[in-house]
Amino acid sequence: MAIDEQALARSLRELTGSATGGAMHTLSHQLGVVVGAAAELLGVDCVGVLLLDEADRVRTVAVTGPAAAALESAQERLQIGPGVDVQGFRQVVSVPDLAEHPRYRALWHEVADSGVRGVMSVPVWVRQEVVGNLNAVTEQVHAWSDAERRAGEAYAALVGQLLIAATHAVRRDSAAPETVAPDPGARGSAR
Amino acid sequence: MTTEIDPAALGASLRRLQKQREPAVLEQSLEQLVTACVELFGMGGSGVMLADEGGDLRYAVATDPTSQELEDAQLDTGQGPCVDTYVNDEPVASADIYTDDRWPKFVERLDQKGVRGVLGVPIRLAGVAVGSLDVFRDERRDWSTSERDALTRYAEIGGALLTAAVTAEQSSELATQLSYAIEHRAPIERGVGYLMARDRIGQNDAFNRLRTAARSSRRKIGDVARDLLCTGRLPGER
Repeated sequence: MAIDEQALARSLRELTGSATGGAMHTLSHQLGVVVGAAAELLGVDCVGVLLLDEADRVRTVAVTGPAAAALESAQERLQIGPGVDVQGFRQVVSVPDLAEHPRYRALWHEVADSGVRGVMSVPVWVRQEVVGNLNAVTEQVHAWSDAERRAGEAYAALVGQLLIAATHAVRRDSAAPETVAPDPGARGSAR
Repeated sequence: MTTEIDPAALGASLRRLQKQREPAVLEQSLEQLVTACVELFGMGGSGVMLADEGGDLRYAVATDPTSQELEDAQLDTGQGPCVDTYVNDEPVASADIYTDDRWPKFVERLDQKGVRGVLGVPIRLAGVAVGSLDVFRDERRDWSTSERDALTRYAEIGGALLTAAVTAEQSSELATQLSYAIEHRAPIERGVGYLMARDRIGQNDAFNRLRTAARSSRRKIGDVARDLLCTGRLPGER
């Protein structure tokens, strides 16, 4: 499992306006736990997570296997793919066979030898905004069921909730100097 | 022109704003955890109980009224699969609670509320069991090893979510409760082990003896456990 802390920091900055080292370290570890279990619990071969950065471009934040790494890297580079489309569609995009999908020919050309066939991209919501997506990958052609889509959405909601908690932690850390141990009776001034 | 700023008032205001916003994070995390659990595992319902400062489990969240009944029945009687999950810090499964003779008071209290198969797994924060995550089915369920393993894995996600949420809202009551549970679980476990050896009783009985001693002396269970380990005696013992 690989976490790109720089990409994560960019996304967190977009969400909070700042990102502290301590909060980043905590979030990175907890996101690793959550994403690391995703493939097993969703019954797929591997997963990846893309999050928006300050320029509203999706960036790879976490992957659990080489196929997902290749898929996310190609989507990030080309800005084409189900993980890009899901940002605009704001709903699950499921692709039974990437090789047969006319919309994603350029993407397939990049990942054809990487073990990617079936892809399900699920939006990650934070409050009312789609801030990224969770991509489930199968090495074989796969007809995604409604139950799998619902499970994917439920799992992506956990990722979103983790990001919400992280943004609160970052804000709390940022506010800490002003809120900790104020000098009783002292009155500061600012010009 | 000089602008006067009162740091104490400003700090108090910020703390008030933080209190307004923060409690939702932990509660939302718990709700997301059980909601996703039902969807992922195809269960009838799911709930979470978390330990308080007295070592008692408390209701935290449930997906539906039946799950809440399941938790309430265990909290009222002090027994049940999820109580054992927390006390023993291990998964506990019951294929059918109505043919399971381990928790008679719990089953009687539950009174045919549409629960049959129950599986509970510990929720751990920082490696310490702080509560239990439970799922149920309304029919008999012979829980497979892979189901136990998968729910245990899912509980790790719960631990990650709650850790992040506690980090975010350290001032809330529930976050304080969890922090206490983490801090005091180790001496409580050692105290339970001491009583098991000293009194030659089982883990559940030892835990209940420790908890009863804490209640009757109106002290926190962690403090009573620490004293037990230092003095060899529970409050009131000679």
